[in-house]
Amino acid sequence: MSLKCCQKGLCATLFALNFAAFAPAQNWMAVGGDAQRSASVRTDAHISDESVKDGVMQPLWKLQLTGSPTPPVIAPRLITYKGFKDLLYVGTSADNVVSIDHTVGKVFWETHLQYDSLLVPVKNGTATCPAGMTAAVSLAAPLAPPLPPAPRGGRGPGTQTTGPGRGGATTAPPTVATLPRPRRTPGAVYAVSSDGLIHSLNQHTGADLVPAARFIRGNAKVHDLISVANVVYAVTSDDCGGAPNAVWSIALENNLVSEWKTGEASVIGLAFATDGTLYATTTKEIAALDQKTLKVKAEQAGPFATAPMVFKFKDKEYVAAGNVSGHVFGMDQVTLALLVNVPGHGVSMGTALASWEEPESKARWILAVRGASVVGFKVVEENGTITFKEAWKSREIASASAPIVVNGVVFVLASGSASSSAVLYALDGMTGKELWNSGTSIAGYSTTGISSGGSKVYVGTHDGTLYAFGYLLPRE
Amino acid sequence: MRKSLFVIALSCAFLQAADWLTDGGGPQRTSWQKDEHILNKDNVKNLQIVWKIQLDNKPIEMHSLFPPLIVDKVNTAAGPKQIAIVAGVSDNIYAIDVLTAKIIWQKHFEYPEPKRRGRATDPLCPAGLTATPIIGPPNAAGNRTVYALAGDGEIHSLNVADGEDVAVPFQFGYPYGKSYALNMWNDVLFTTTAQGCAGNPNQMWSVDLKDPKHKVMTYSPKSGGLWGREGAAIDESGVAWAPTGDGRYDPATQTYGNGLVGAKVEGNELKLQDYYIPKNWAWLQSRDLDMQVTPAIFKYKGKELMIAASKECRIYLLDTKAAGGDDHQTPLDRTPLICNEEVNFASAGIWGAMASWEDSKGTRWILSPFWGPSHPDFKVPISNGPVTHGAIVAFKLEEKNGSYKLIPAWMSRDMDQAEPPVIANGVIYAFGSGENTEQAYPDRGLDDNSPERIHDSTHAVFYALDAQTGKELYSSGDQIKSFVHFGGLSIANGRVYLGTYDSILYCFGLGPK
Repeated sequence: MSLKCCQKGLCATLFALNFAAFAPAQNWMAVGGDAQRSASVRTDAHISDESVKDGVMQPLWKLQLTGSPTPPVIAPRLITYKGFKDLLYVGTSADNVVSIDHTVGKVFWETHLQYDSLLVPVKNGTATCPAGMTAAVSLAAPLAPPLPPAPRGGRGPGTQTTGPGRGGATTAPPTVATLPRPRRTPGAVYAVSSDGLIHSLNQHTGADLVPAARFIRGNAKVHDLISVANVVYAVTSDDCGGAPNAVWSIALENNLVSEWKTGEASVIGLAFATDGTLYATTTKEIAALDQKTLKVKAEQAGPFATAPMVFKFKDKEYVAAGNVSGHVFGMDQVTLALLVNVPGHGVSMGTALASWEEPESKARWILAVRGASVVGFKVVEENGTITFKEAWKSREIASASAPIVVNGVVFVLASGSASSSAVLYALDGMTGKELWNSGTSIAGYSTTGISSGGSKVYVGTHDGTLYAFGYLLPRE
Repeated sequence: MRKSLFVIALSCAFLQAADWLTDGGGPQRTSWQKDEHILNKDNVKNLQIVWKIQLDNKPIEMHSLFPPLIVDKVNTAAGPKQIAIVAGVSDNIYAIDVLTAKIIWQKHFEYPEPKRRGRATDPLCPAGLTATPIIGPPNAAGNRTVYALAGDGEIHSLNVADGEDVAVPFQFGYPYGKSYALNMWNDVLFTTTAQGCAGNPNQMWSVDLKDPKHKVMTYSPKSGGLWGREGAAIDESGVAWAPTGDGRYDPATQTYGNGLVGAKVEGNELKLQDYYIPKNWAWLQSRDLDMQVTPAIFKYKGKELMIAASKECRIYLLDTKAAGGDDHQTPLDRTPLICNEEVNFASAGIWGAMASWEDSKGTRWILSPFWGPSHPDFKVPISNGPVTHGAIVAFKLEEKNGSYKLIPAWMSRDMDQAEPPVIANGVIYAFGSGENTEQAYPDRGLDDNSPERIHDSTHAVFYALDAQTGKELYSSGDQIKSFVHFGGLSIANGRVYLGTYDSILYCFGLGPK
């Protein structure tokens, strides 16, 4: 494991960003970050376009895990029986759930979810139907995102104040935000093991909080796991393991399982509106589902290529998704009527979108991987309706992962291949200009997405390595 | 019985006039008894429980008895006596004749039940008296006064000889505000408060005993609490130094959390004079590893220095005239991590108070207790066995060309939650409290509650160690039956005292041999 921090001119920027380290935390609770699947961390005390230019994105640590990691989820600061911890949770294809203290890069606990099914476990998977645990783990995600804190935290120069005593001047931060209150009681980490059981694990220990319950057929390709309002949702696709393609839910209070089967159409992903309406894209259509019954409330024909994403613009929510021809659609949240159709010109589309709001101008941005680039669209209002205006297009990024946004900085992974290693890029969210890349720091390629929390971006590679890039709070 | 009395009387005949008038042995909180001439490293192997006395003090939460104060040659109605003054959390003060182990007088402070108090079962905020009292200098007639801060926040001034009030009580602190050990400098009393108990602000407090209005002067570093076990330590210029506990550092708003502040009475105000904040304060705050140990202040080669520490488990050496240098963040020296590799906020790290002494060769020694296992990367020349529950660690202070260095010297045997030691005549006296210090649990997270901790506590063990090597010279084994929380050692005239949760005061001294 390597730990690096505060190199070259970075210290000055960090001082300007100040020791203020503690803007209210927004957690990465499931794949896509939140229930709306915005893939966005709205504020970060240390990552900003300025600090990234000044070198804040350092390789911090890497850990070798057993099995290929899925994108980690990040809990708030916790008071555990072993002290205050900043924990992330990552599931791996080996049916392991690993808790890592991301501030120090050490494993806190590791739990192996024992296979418990009459079905024979799949030992060797395929690219379409991989073996083992396939879904990223989830924390309980609120339907509505928390109110945003101060705009783009961490900007601004230090001020001069005079300390008492010897009269010496001390450069000091202009403000020091309050450290978020730590969570005192352990919540749950939700994981679907390869045998199809849903596990609710103690965040502090990895032990089952309640007995695991039968959820989905074993050996299925499960993904888009998310826990909302004491119900866990997931989808299955590609008919893997004989499991039907479907959207699934299990009510944790009584383990009642509901489903919406999609026939031959694979389900691509899920997202929630803040009223609880659940959206699922498939290779055939997009559907609005009732949160409890999974009954269809509205539909729009596809086929789609990306998971849906819900975004807010001028106090109204909309649904966005992309299709296999590179089109990006904006839809009415209730009827799924098409409001925006950005032509795609036949280019390929990534697997998920991202969205963020520039806090000063309130400009809403939609990000999509189209072809070999990330494209930034600005949401604008024209003639009483919305439209997406292409504002920038990034440099070429081979096999780009779904983008994520951290405090206005876009991160995207060139996933690499058997013959080339992955590279993480940081782009200016307003211009798409490259701010930084990880160079040769990552060895190996990635088949999953990236996530962020605690001023770090996490990348998992096929060989079971989890990398952290970003800012590390100095211990010394 | 006759033999015992003979031994006690014999011991008495050799007693010198040593006192222990305040927590930590003096305003500088070094915990060094310079006037001990009876106990030494050759005879402490013969230590035994000379007496123990069951007091009628009722424990509250985990608190019970505070460190005894010892004063010799007190002119009582029955003649001159050596007296131990012991405070109990349920607002009791006991004066005990150390020769006979008889109570000479006792006082219970009565007051209307305060409207606010800490949460029931919360170990952090017990109701009642929580500050170790202090004994003032003798007056012209040779009489001494013990100052005690009752649970209702009133200062009582009692004649050490008979317990009678020598002054009208006056208000100093908040009721049930959890004040820490009293200290005194030029007739000014100091205390500190923490944890915001019963709505009490976390700050340093002072009052001039000569002021007829008894104006209460305070200074707040706006932090989580000044919870050094022995309150503030006072330097030669009258600056009271106290750790500030958990909190932020933001000089723009005069916020000095996770550091050490020094305040002094100027006119009728208590004003900040200086402060020290570790450069990694943000890390300390993020993991609740705060600076919370009463510092020890001492002279070394003509300079007045100070040692402080944190739950992170490292020791800082500071100059009282410029703590932390020009930027307030650069100590003269800082040790590596001594313990707490796990980064635990509850049962590891340095807790309580520091200690320091100088041997006959002029070597300045620094002592610190710590909890939990020693850090695997921390090495000492002399180890006294593996440490898993806590220990005392000793450093030598060296100076070369104006550069100061804390050199690791030895680490003691394992002690179950080692508490602040005291030093006398080449012997270190220490104890493992046997207290359960857990505040969080795997199934529940944070759930700091007295009943569970009391149930899971064991018993204290008292040790005497060779001050040069840390070698164990004496252990009380399982003779002490209960644990210690916020208690502490006192030593004077061949006796070492320790009060336990069950309100028993133990007196260790030499046996028949």
